[in-house]
Amino acid sequence: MSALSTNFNLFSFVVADLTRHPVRVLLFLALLVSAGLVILSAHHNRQMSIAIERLMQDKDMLDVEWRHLILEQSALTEHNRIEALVTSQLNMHRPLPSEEVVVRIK
Amino acid sequence: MSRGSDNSKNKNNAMQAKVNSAPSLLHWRFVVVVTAILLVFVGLGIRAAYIQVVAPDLLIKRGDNRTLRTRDNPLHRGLIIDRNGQQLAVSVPVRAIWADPKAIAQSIQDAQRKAQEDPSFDLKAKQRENKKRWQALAEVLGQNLDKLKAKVSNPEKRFVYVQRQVSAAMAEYVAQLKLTGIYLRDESRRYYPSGEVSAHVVGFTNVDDTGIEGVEKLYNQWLAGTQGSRKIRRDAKGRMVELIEFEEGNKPQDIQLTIDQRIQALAYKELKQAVQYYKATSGSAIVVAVNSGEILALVNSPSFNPNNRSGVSAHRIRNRAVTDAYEPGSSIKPLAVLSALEFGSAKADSIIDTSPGWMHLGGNIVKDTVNRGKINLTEIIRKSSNMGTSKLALSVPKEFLLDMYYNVGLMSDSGANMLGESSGIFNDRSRWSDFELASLSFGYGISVTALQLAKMYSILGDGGIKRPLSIVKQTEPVQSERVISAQATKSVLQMMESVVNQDGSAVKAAVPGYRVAGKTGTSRKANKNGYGEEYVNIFAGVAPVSDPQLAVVILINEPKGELYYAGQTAAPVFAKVMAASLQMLNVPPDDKTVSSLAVSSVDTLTEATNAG
Repeated sequence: MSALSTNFNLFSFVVADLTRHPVRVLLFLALLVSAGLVILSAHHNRQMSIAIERLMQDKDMLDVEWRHLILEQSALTEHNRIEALVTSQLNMHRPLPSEEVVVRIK
Repeated sequence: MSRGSDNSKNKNNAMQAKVNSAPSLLHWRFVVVVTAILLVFVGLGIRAAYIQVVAPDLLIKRGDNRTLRTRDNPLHRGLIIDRNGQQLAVSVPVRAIWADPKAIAQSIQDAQRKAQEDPSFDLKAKQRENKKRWQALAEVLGQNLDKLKAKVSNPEKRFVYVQRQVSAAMAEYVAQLKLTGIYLRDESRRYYPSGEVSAHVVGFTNVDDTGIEGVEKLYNQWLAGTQGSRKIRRDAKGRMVELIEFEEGNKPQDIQLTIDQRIQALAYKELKQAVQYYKATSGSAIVVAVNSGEILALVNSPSFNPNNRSGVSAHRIRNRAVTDAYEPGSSIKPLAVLSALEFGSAKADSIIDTSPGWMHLGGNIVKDTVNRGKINLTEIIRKSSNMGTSKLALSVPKEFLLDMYYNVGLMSDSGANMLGESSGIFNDRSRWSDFELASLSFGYGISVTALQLAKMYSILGDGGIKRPLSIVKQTEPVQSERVISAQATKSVLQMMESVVNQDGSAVKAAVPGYRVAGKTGTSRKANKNGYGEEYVNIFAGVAPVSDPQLAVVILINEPKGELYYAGQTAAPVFAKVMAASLQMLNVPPDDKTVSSLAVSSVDTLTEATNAG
């Protein structure tokens, strides 16, 4: 072999070779891109899972809070308690039948 | 082995060797290196194939152990609400503290071994620190430290409850103590905001959140639901990164009762006062909506606090209104009149001769307190004449009379399907003596519960239409059937109206503004020596008479004060409960004593109320 023929430029040789098979190059690039996308979407999926779990935890905590609040509400609005409060503090009483006025709408 | 051939090559081609012999000289080395490298890769490949294809299970399992978790979905028992949506029972999550005694013993041993192996390890300080934490745990739980230690000292055990139903804040503190072998688990606790008012109806749950009384027990499955879970993959920080499996349990359902908590609270208050005031053993009150058979209120006194049941005796927990049967006495006298009217042996304006105020039936005597002479049916009910009802009861065939008792529900359960409900006591026999039939007419020889009585009065109130009572709100309309003619019930209600009017036996049962029909019942309680000096006071009635809406039964058991007639004890309670219930339900007054205002439109209505 002559020195000229052995002393070729590897890079240009590779490029020339690649340009002869553009479809394969394209496929290779597509493969890389899709692999990247798979990684990305798996990552997003995990982030979403984490987010939904956090939301579910929030929901549970809100549910617990709601239960405490209705407990407090029903303890405070217990009918006998309200009646005792309005009679002592607001000086109210159940209307006697003589004080009642029935309004009939024709 | 190739050395000889190399030497001969050198000799033959001495000049050429300089250029060409070097690669062939190293050829065997090249093969060895390539083979070795290939072997390495083949080895790796085989190993990889072995791990991936032949025996992948082990590593999958190890991976799953680190990342796969099954988590229970939170499960809270359904609510119990009243007809207006007010909560009667609410579950709130709490924590249970439990210990693993084996893990505790293990950690102590580990510390001692570490101290032996490593002299720099300060065992004393570690023990001091540990003791301080246990002391803190005992203090926050309000337990004795020695008792607590004794509880978790048996290293054979793997699970011991330290304390149950601990609040979230306390649980957080315990978690921060970071004691080895002390863990927390979720559970929930039931709260009853209405307390003792609705305790008998709602019932309660035990510490494991299983219903053991009342509606809580009857509808336990419905309220409890079943645990759902989800299988997840977690990352290093414990966050869920993948939801693998989601198993939906049966969601706990809420239950809506027919109880109106406003009426319930009022009835309880009045009943409790009455039971205390008349020094009674117990009392029950029931309010039923006659047009639907829905129980609006059902209370007993004495009651109990379902939120704290320590030291509550069993008799307070019993739902007396449905479990305890008493002889109803005069309160079922309207049935004898109804039978006679229905059969036709008497008319609404018939006159019955009750003189001389007593009569012999077999070997027994039926008598009135005084000789009332010739009286009409209204007088019989108003004066509660035993003679009158006996004569009316004996004027119809016995099957007809018994059918009447059966049809109004005095011999069967009410249909409300409540826990421990009694169908009363009634001995059906093939032969009835006249005296037995007569005593049946004034409420002896048969025992009924307050709820059965309420059912009977709701039938009277609804013009003779029978329907099962209900305590849980029904979505479909209930079955109903006519058991008494509308005409007969109407005239009997009008007769019963006289009871609360002037000269009646229960003037105190009158509700101003409304026409009320009712009947007292004062019966002696039977004991082993016949009838004793204990009384049961009953007042049952319906209102308003022009268009009955409510049936109310008040039962005062064994009043020990000076007042022991139903007209003096049960009747006033009836009046208060009935008046307030009618008012709360906005039932228009039907008596003439109330001023009435008619307006033609909503505009004038606001003006009128502003002016008024």
